[in-house]
Amino acid sequence: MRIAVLSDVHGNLEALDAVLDDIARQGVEQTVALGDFLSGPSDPLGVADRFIELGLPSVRGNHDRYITDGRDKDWHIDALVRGLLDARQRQWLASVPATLLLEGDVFLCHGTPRDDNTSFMDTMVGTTPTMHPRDYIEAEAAGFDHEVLLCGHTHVPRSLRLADGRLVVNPGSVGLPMEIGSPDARYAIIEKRRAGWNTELRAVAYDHAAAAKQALDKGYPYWAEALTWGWASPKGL
Amino acid sequence: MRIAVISDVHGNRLALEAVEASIAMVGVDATINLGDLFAGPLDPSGTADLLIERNYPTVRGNHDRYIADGLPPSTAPVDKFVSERLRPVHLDYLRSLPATRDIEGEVFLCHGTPTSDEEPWLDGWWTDRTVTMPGEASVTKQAEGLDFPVLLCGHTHVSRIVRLRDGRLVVNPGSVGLQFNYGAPDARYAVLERHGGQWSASIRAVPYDFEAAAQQVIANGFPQWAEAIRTGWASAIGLF
Repeated sequence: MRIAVLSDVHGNLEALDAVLDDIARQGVEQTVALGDFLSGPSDPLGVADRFIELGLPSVRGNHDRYITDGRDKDWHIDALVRGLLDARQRQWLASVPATLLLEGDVFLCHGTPRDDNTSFMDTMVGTTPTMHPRDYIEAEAAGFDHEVLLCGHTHVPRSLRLADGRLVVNPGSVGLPMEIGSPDARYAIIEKRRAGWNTELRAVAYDHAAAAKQALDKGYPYWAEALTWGWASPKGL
Repeated sequence: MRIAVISDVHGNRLALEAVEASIAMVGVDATINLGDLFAGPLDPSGTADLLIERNYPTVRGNHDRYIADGLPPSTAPVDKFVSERLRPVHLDYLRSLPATRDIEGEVFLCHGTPTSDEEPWLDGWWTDRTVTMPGEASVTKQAEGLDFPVLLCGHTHVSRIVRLRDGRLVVNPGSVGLQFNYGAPDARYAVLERHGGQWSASIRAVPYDFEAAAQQVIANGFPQWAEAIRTGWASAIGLF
């Protein structure tokens, strides 16, 4: 069983298509997506159409929920995307579930199994990205007794093993690198072999200048900066 | 062109064998090694026999230097244990290793940073029992003057892939044999790939029989290593 896992595309079609090309060369049986599909200035509608066309097993991210349901303090980007979506795109986004269990005992969520806006393994609080303590991570995973728990949201790629052997994997972000020191698009491949689940955290070089130009042309220079260098903090987005 | 990168084996032959099996399935043109080869209370001489037979392009780590040169840190309990179990041929091999080297002008190898085998490059974890991403300025400064598309480092045991503003890639593959501060006992390594002149990287996490490795450290009188080997969460403080 070999599964490609992508997350946090954030409206970046250039990065998504580069990742899909890379996946096509990796001999996977399935590709899944962990949400935050559209919230970004580069090409959110192109990303929506690509996901509708692909029909991947997917879960919804917090920003997908904000776009469909609204919230008090909207991101500019979420409001922008909400206004752009046509009925078909809106219907697709609203249909994506919060969590999903795949055959093979692989569980999908966006943030943690219980909440799409809680970070599971890494914390971006303060200025230095670091990991949550072990007890915190174990508590968030308690009660979700599956071989693999897949999550996104933090944009930090990580493969972690819980005390009882369950694997937790975050593939990182396809379309919006934050405080990671590289503009490359990230995704993961998990594979079950005789000794257990293996993880591959991939970084794919793509035409990030084109994605940054789209963001800049739409009036989002800080996004362009994040897409170009990969060192930006989530605070300015 | 595909290159496997291993580092920080620390005498853990079981983890090394699992990584080599994984590399064989990936299919690479070469495997290279970034040092700290034997310094662990697991199977230092078995690891030495295997790595000398493999003869991968390798740079020396700080613990390799302590052991090879008989420097004061080699009297630290682990380095002392390892020194006593290595044979002259193993020590000669350690002494033959350069501090840095490159592969065909494309890939530069060092253990810590280009100028030190003891300084961390892509992580600042030893300020606490966790991992921390360093700032861009410090990461970039260490790469000054090194005109290679790919720069490789180990030492921190934390895998990361960074791309500098000028496009150079800096990669730490993590540790094959000793996981700490990092939340998983699985063995780590990296694969570099060049497509159309552009280098990219991936990090691999490979499960292996870590309980057998934990039994080795306990049998050898270093029970404080067992938590690191079994969980990947232990601090490096007190291990050496």
